[in-house]
This record gives sequence, structure tokens and C-alpha cells, in this order.
Amino acid sequence: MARSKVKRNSVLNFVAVTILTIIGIVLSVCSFDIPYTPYTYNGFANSISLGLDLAGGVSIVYECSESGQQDLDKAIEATVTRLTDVIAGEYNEATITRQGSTKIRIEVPSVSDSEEIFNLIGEPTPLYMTLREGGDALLTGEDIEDVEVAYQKSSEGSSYEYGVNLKFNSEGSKKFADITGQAADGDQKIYVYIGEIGEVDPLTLTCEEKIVGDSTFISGNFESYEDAEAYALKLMSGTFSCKLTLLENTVISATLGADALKYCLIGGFVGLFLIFVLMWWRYGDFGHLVSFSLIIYIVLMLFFLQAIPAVQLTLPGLAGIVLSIGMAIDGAIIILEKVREEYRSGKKIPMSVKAGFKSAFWPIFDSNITTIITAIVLYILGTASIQGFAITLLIGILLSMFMNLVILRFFMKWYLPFNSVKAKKLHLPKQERLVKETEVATEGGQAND
Amino acid sequence: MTKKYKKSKFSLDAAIQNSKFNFCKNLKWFIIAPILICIVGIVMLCTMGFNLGIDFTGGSNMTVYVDTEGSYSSLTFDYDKDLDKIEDVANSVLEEYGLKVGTIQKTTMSVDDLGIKDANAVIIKYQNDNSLETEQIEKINKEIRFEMLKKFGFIDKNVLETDLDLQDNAGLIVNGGVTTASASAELMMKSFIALLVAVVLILIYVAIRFEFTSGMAAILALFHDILVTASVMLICRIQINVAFIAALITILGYSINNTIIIFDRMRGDLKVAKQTKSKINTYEIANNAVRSTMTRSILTTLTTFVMIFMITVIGVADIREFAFPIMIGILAGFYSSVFLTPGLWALAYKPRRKKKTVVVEETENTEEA
Repeated sequence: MARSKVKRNSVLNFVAVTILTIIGIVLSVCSFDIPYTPYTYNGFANSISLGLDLAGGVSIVYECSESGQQDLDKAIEATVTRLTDVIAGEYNEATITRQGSTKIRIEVPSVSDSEEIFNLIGEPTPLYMTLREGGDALLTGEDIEDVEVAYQKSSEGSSYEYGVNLKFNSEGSKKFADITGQAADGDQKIYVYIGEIGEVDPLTLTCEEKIVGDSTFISGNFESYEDAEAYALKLMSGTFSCKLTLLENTVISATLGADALKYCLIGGFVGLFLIFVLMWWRYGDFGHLVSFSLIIYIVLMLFFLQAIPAVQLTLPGLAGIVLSIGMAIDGAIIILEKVREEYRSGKKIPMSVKAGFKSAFWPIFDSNITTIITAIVLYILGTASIQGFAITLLIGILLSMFMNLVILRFFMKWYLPFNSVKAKKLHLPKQERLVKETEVATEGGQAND
Repeated sequence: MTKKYKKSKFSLDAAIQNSKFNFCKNLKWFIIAPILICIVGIVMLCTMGFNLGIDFTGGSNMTVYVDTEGSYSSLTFDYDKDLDKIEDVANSVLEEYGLKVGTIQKTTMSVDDLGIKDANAVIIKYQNDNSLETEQIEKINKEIRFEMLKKFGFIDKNVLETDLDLQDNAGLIVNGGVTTASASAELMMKSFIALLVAVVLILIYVAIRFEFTSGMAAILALFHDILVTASVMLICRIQINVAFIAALITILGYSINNTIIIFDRMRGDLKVAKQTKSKINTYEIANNAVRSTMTRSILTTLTTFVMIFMITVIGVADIREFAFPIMIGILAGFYSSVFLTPGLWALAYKPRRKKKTVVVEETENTEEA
């Protein structure tokens, strides 16, 4: 009676896990409209953010040159931060990296026209505000936080006029209050240089009173929204700490990546199928359990790749996933080989399984820790593209431990009520007659010494 | 000592258990192969250097779009099939300048002025040492275009280059640009430091979990894997791009796994030997550990290898660039963990118990064929 109850529970467990897995697969690859709502569900395998090499996109390289005010190194760092703020605000998958000593690379996946990026940043160059023509810079582009087109009621109050809103950071607000204060007192103009002082003609601003606060409205008698926008872009391009000259502007087609992705997936599936066969050949029914847990592993992997925002799947990342699947199977092999070994030494199947898991735990743990160490070091010290790879690797390892030590363990526990005697079904080796059971199962050796 | 199995049918385990091969005693023979590979690698490094890809050297690119519409509709051109032809033509021109095609791939392009939208095109990247002037690059691109026009029958074979209006876009459009090197000395340095830090941390971890001798043996094995992989890349003249660094790091993380499985077994056997106060024969312990973990080493290596092998065979050039070194690394990792680390460990390991004399001698079953 009790036995059949255990069996029934096992069947229920397997059915439940199978249903959950099928739901998982459906949720990962299918996209559909959610009934009775305006929302569309997008399968998480489809919404993993892809890197430039897979999704195609725009790659722009700038050469940074002189910034009159400070040393170039700091200016480049500041420019990278600034570019990240501006571009990532619009395209959150963009990566902006410093390359070599004087270059900056901007990569924006899934964009097919570089103009979209240029419209966002203009032609980056430093900006200075002075009170005298050619005078000392009292405020620089770094003090400006944002530039946007705005409108307000015109002085007559009958219509709206377009203008540009300048937003300062706390430092900038103080400086700007200072400048406007002086300008208003002395009836002076404010000169805005977009570019190095002395090299470009300044724009002039007038103000009637000291402006305190973190933003100001510049009314330029713009005739249209477009005019104001052009002016805003001009100011915007001044918020970078150094002058950037366009070196390279490449649009990478998505078809390259689509092909790469397709063939990588085909390769992965063929490899996976071969592994399923290999698992069955070596471990029989246990091999099927490994294959089943591997499918769950892949679904979970897809889920986490999509859910963790820092992950951007690139070509090496894709190969990293394939590799981590290989490593996940390694863990299963270590366990099942230990089970075989325990069985051969004379234990019954359920005892072998228990002992196998016990003695496989530390080797799996140790080998995974070393890989985790590698992944963490890469994440901390690596460059942007390697960081993405490191995260993929880390997710892969943690999941593989979960797969082997939790999922596979439950599966084998549920399997045993069905078959705890037929070694043939598990492709187990012959048991040895002479058995000396020791705590640590070893092969021969000291017994004969 | 080694148990015999009945040879009823083929069994991997039995084959390994019954073999009398000694994995540890012949260390001096086992290190010959990797040393040879590394020497050849070093010679290649000194004479020819790495075959650095466009990521390291920078270069130029050109997008080639072939117009088979309108007046050229009688011409047939297939982007998939004619890719090789395009490469040949480009190479024949580039050769005169001592250059060659780096990568050639299908892409799509849009040229607003000409009303081309998402049309098939081919992107050719070729390396140059950044000494070429923009005008020179333009000249080369024009020459390539001219040769292609001839090759694909857009113009008569007897037309001279000077007769042709090179500004004319009819038939075949070529857009050129500069590709900057994305890998800098700084990036290499950073990656190298990352590799070193990872190695040191692994050494510390293994030394804590096992002991220092094991840690050192594991680290030597890691260096072996990385050096052999780099040497094979050098010898096969395979182009190296940024992905190679990621591949090396992957090897680092992966290849130690087999080593740890063997160390775990040696640790177990050592513990038993100490408990039973029997003589500790490190060679025997190491040899037994290798032997009894052999099937699982083979299987784990095989499964991972199968996955990587499949994407290497089926995948595109970019993937191959990354997957090939990993394949080499996996094999090197298997070799080092089976043939090198246990032997090294057996050679260097000294048990801490001082009252017992340690016997490090050859056992009777080491007389292999």
C-alpha cells in the first residue's frame, strides 16, 4: 500500500514538473497578445537584449582632442560618462567605452541609422561661458546637466514662444547665479563659446536680473520648434568635456548577426541531441533524467538572461552559454559516475544513488568555485564586452549547480520507486563479488598492501 | 591490485581498469609533446608573430553592392555563391599593396540618395597598418570596384581603368570607410592582469581546499593549457581577434575542472592511506586516481567538446574564431589533467607526517608495454 502511494506521488511530481517545463518552454519562445488586454506577451527568449554583433546596429568611434581647461585623461573619462548619460537615456542597450588612450567607441545595437545618434549629441565639443569676449571661462559644459527645448508664454501673453531650457547641476547653479548677477549689474552680455575660446564665435545672451535656481529658460525668438531644437543641440554638444572628431561610423547589418545566431542555435541543438544520445547510452534511464533536467536548465538560463539587466548577449556570450551547458552536463556525469562506482562496489541501487550524490558534492563544489572565481575576476577587471560574458558564465555555473544538486537529485529520488532493482535499465556495470566497503569508496589499493 | 573484469562485452571502464598504462611515471615523456608544440609556437612568434586580426591592427572596410536591376537585369549575381569570387577579385587587387582580405560577409545596406533600401550587399574588411592615406584607401577601393565590374560582366574586359568614370555608381557601388583597431595595448594589459589575478586566486583556493602542491600542479597545468592553445593558434596561423582573450579565459575556468576531480580522488585515497597507516606511495595514489576517474574525464571532455565542436562546424566565421581556441583548450586541458598534473603532484608531494618514511618508488605494474 505504502509503496503504491510513494509511486503515485512520484508520478504526480513528474507530471507536475513536465507541465511546468512545457509552460516554461512556451513562455520562453512564444509571443502572443494577452486576451482582453492591450498588452502583448513577449517570450523571454525573444526579449534577451542582443549585443551589436548579433542585433546589428551602429558603431561610432570618436577621437578626443584637446580640452583647454584640464588634462585630457580626466576630460575623456568625463566625456564617456556624459555620453553614457545622454545616449543610454534614449537607447538603454548602448555601450560607450574608452578605447586606447584617446578614442571613444559608441555602440548602439538595433539602430540602423547613425543620424539618430548624431541628433542626440551634436558634434561634441567643450562649452564655456564668459563675461567678456575672450575672457576667462566662468562656467563650463560640465556644469550643465541637461538641455531641452521648452516653451513659455510670450511677453505679450497671447501666444507661446519656443526656447531652450538649460538645467544646471548644483555647482553650475551657483556659477550661473554669479554670472547672471554680474551681467545684470554691469549690463554686460554673457558669451557662450561652443568650442575653444578664441577659436569660435561666441553666442551672446543678455539677462536682466540675477538668476538663482537650477534651470533657466533661454528665449531666442525662435520661429519654430525646429529652430529651437537646433539651438538646443548646439548647446547640448557643448556639454562634453573634450572635442570629439568622428573617426569611424559603421552600420552593422542585422543579417550578419541573424546568421550567426541561427547557425549557433542549430549547432547547439545538434550538440544537445548528441549529448542526449550519449547520456542514454551510458546511463540508461538516469541519462533521460539528466536530459530532462538539462531542458529545465536551458529554460531557466533563458529566463535569467532576459531578467538580469546587465546581460547583453554577444557572440562570445552565446558560445559561453553553449559551454556552460557542457559544464552542467559535466556535473551530472560526475554524480552518475560516482553512482556507478558505488553500485559496482556492491551497494544496492538506492544506496548507490545516495552515496553517489554525497561523494560527488565536494568535487562539483570545488570545480565550480574555481570557475566562479574566474567569472568574478573577469567581471571586476574585464572590459565591457568581457563583463557580459562573465555574467553569462556566472549564471550558467550557479544554475548548473542548482540543476545537478537539486533538480537531478529530486528526479532520481522520484524515479527510484519505479525501479530500484533493474540495473540493466540504468546501464549499470556488473557488481564485484569481493567487496570491501569503506567510508570513502576507493578502487583497490590499500586492501592488498 | 587492479581488478579484472570479465570481458563479456566491451566496457569503457573495464578497458581502462585492465590497461596497465602508468599515467604518472612517464611524466618526462608526456611533457615532450607540449614542449615541442610550445617551441614551435615560440619560433613562429619570433619569426612571424601572431596573425593579428583587424581588431588589433585596424584597417579599412568597403561595402559592395551589386545592382542587378534595370539595365543590368540580364546579369546574374548571387551574394551567397559569388562571395568567393568577390574575395578573389579583392585579394588580387590588395596583393599589389601587400594587403589581404580580413573578413568578407553578407550584409544589407541602404543608400538614401539612390533609393536603395535594405539591399543585399557584401562587406569586405581588409587590414592595413594605418599608414595608408585616405586617398590611397579610396584608390584601392576604386580599383577593386573596377576589377569587379570586369569580372561580373558589367563592363567590357578591354575597357581601361582610366576610361571609366570612377565616380559613376552604375552597376556596382562601393562605399569605403576606416575600421579602427578595437583592441588596444591597454585592453590587452587589462585582460592579462585579469588572467593573472584569476590564476592566483585559483591557486589560493586549491591550496586551501587541497594543499599547496596540488595548487601549484593545477596552476602549471593552466599555464600549459593556455600556452599550448596560443601555440596552436600561432602554428595554424589562425587570426586572433578580441574574442581570443575571452576564449583563453574560458579555458582557464574550464580546464581546471578535470584536474579537481582527480585531486579529489587523490585526497580521498590519501586520507584512507593515512588512516590505515599504510605506506604512502604518491605515484600509486596518483595513478589510481587518474585510472578510476578516467571514464568521467573522457565523458565530461567529450560532452563539452561535442557542444563546442558543433558550433564550430556549423557556425559562422566569427563564432569559429572564438570556438576553435576553446576546442584546443579543452583538449589541452584533458591532456594536462590526465598526463601532467597527477605526475607532477606525485613527484612533488611530501606528506607532512615525519615519522614515517615516504616511499616514492615505482610499483610493479608500471612496466607498461
